[in-house]
Amino acid sequence: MDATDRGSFEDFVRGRSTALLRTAYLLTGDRGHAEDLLQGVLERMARRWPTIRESREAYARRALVNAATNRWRQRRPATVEFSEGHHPSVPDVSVGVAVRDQLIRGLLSLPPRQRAVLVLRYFEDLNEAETAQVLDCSVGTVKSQASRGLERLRTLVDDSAHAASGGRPTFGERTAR
Amino acid sequence: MSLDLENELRLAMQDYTSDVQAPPDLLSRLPRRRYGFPRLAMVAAAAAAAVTVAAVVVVGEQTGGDGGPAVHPLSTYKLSKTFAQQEQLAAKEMTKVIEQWGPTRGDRAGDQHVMARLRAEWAHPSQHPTNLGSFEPVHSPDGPLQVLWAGTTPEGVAAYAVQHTKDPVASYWYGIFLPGSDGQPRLAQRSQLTAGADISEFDPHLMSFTTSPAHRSVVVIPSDATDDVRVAFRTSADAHGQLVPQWQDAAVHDGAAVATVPAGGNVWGAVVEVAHDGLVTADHGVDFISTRLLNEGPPQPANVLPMWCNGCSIGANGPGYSKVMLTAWLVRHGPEYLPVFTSMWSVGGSLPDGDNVLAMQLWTVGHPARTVVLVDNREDMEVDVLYDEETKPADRPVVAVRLPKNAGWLVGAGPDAVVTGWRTAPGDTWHAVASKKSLLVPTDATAIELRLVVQGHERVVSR
Repeated sequence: MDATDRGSFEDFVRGRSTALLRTAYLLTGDRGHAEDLLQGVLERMARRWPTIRESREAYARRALVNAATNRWRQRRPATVEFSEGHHPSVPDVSVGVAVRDQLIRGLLSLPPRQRAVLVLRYFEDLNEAETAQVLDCSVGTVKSQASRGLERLRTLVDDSAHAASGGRPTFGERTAR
Repeated sequence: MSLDLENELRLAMQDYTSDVQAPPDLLSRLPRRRYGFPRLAMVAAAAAAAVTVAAVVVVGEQTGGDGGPAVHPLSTYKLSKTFAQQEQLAAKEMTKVIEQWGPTRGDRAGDQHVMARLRAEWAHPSQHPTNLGSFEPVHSPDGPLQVLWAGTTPEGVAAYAVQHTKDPVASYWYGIFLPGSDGQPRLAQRSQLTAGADISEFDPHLMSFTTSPAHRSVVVIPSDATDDVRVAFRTSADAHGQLVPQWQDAAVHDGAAVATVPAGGNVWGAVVEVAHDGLVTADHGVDFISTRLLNEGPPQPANVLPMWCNGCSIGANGPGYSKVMLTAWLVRHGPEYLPVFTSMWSVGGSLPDGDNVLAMQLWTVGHPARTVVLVDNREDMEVDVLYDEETKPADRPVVAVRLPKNAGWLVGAGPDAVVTGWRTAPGDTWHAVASKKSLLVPTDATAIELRLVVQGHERVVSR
């Protein structure tokens, strides 16, 4: 890697690492894993930097997703724990912190690729075709995985809200109004 | 309603990650040497005059503390504790799945001729297993061969089988049998089975393999015979020249699906997927892509050094843990070897202080064979990369690596060779070794001599 490439790579790391780390955090649910994952991806990118022809951010995102879904591939949902230092920075006034916590817990309990679909669609704001390209799957699979994932989240939130409310209207019923 | 949920999820994810910032020292964590292919400042000791073919792996050294010259690692990385725990869970899951498998699946399950053929192939492989050995007692497979599936494919009869071993960590060996030239099953793969971290990506819930080196079909075996199976092959390129996966349903019969690779299809990038009640439960690349049959395949590349096994375990702490080290290395430094690779040999074990050492040769189609030596520190979960180099065809018949913290020398003998003794200086008395393929030489000396028997002839090499 020559000086020009080195400079552009270091600019990329400085400029995009936080965004990529946030995606990695959602994919893994673990801050340490996320940093580990990102570091690995950046090391690999450094080796190939001059030859990466597509968008380097897209390349990094795809590498992150592939590494996360391979490395933590598992049949059973992961045990979800919030890091001790995590405090939502924006007070919730619409549905409540509890529901958003419930959504994150539900998200992190999904199978890795289903989770990745929701992260790419609703956090990275990729469309279905772009998501399919990152995940190397069909658009139909993205649609079905997103639908199943959202349905799973809705069920989890509804069940939790129903249990907590003692029969009062659930999240779905409230938001439907 | 749907839109609200999507929006709440979007806001939840933004909240959840709002305090996440990249570490300020992230850039400095990326070693500058990693900007190029990792290379070791190798100190190639001259071979003894009597030896003409031996080349050796010797780690670079720097002047160290009280113990003399210290071993200088090529690089160091941190191992995730959770990752290691996940591997242990995966190993338990694998054992549970196999124990609860039930009778053999497939349309040849009741064919006694096929079963006899499988047992004979398993008992008499033309090539021995690939692990070079360990420092600890070896646990060979025992008990009956458990055939999980045996069935007809377009190219003949294939099968997948496992055999229990008393190894406390890697509790099974597995064999893949593919149709030979006579259409009957021949042994194509025979190795230890470890879940999760295993670089062959074994997943007891989704086993898959190609049925021949021609890659005309893929067998997919879900753990649950009622699961749905889908397979994606790549047949056409998009506007950027990338091969696009084409998904297809694969009907499950007798507990397995046999998917035909379409004309022009590429099995190397194929993806298999299983779903239960509409929910995808596992998906990944094809586990085993055959490039040869053990008895009938083409010759391997010149830089692959197959080694014979006289000890087939990777240490008291188990191949599961050792392969966590290796998998973590693969993710960082050898991703091209991650999807599919064949380990031609490995050697490792536990050091007196509990650290693990693992030496392994990796090879995958399209890439050169590569030798890696890793040592971990169990306390801080750090892994030192001691050696990482392309394997040269002349690198035989011995690998010798001086380990850090004066832990000794890791020695492995190559094809047609065994170690019979060692000493630290010419003229000293030989320490006899009972014809071992691999051993940990307990000396803090910075140089050793090894006595080998290579193809029946005694040789001495100095390192």
